[in-house]
Amino acid sequence: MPTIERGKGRPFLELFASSLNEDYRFPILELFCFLYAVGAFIFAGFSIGLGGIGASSDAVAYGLTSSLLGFPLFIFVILILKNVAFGLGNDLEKGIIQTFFSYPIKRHWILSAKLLSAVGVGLLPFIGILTSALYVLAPDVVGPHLGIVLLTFLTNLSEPLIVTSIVLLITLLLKRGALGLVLGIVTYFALAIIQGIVVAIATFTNNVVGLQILSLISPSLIEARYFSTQTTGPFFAPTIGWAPTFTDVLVYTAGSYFIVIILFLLGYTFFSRKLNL
Amino acid sequence: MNRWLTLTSRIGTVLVAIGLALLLISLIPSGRSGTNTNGFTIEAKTFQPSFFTVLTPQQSETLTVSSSIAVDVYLLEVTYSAPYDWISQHTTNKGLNNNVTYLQWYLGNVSQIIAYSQKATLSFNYQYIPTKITNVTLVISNPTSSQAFVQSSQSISNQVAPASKVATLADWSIPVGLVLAVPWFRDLYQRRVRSSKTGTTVPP
Repeated sequence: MPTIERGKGRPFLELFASSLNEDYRFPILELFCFLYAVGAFIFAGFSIGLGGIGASSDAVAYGLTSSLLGFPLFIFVILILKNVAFGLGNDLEKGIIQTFFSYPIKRHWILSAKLLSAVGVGLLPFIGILTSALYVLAPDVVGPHLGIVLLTFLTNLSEPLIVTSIVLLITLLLKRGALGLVLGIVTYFALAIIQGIVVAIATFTNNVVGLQILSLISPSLIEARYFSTQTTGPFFAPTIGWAPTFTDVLVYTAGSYFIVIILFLLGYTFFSRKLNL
Repeated sequence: MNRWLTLTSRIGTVLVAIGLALLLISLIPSGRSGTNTNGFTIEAKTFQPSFFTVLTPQQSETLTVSSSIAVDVYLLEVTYSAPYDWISQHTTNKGLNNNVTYLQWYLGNVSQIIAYSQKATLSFNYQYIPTKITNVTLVISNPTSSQAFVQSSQSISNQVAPASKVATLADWSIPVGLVLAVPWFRDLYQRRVRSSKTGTTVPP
């Protein structure tokens, strides 16, 4: 248990350091960084560049970035769900949060310290290692299109963050982590299955309503559709019906992060005002 | 242990982990997808494009050229027909413009497309790894006044990542990481010694 001292920012930093120590015990962080680095190179591919005749250089950068996000993103989801559900859940179960409430720090700062450690610090190696790996692999693809690379990260990260915020709410409501973790993983896979179904419906029936709604949760869908309209070739069927523009991609991405913020604010409100231990 | 020292040490252990991952990637062998060999004659004062390929950064191309007389070899990031197209657009002559003067004129105007070149060589051997998806054409130019008999070969290897680049990064990150992690290893060792003496577990 950390000793909390009075002073500007000190309790927050002490809690943050304590959370870091809990969330990233040796060798958890090292193992995840190892998997990010291996996954980045193993799963990277240039299918859009070769399969799509006349693919724009933006589309190639998007294709390369999204190709390597599958496995590392799943690893990242496991890490942050473990941190939020198990880290916070165990602290709630064991009464550690109750002890934190007696410290000279507002409740929302306690949750901020926990989330900064669980999600914020988890994001740093994820984005850092993957972007560096992309740069090592194809500097002339990534360098001039860093904006597209970062946008692809943003569109792919919003869904895991929505799942994380749901897991946070469940963990706070149930005051235990295991169920939150299980529900989080189930939600993540359920969303993946729903995405598959919605994309199939959009492809076969040209009914894109489901795709448009789901794009608010997973803007990677609208980004994929946008770049598929930019690419023609044997592996890319012509997109009929809904051809989103780049502005649409940005609007949907902003919309999904608005949902993320709302859900996290709900978590904060519950933690600050309603959580009784 | 001081928090800053702990942070530095953890950065060190992370660097070692990344370095080991890079080392593993660099050890994955590349797969060769076949070798093409070509033998032809290049007339005096003319040039001849030889191999044309579309490569990704996950591929490398090894090119060899041997010639009976000294020739200029260029590896250009363009399609096979690009030099001819450019020359025919910029000249009134609409025939096959394979004169070396035209090639020099073309290369002088679009010098950024030259990935590698070697002048007046009898034997050329080069491994090319692109940094983006690119068209690659080998162009052999015979600036002499006699005919050249040329043998060229091309082999393409598929790889997970540019092995030499990744290995270099691993060679740097592992030792740097180990140095940064020394305080953590020392602390771990001291805690082990203390716990074995007292028989209790010393918290980190």
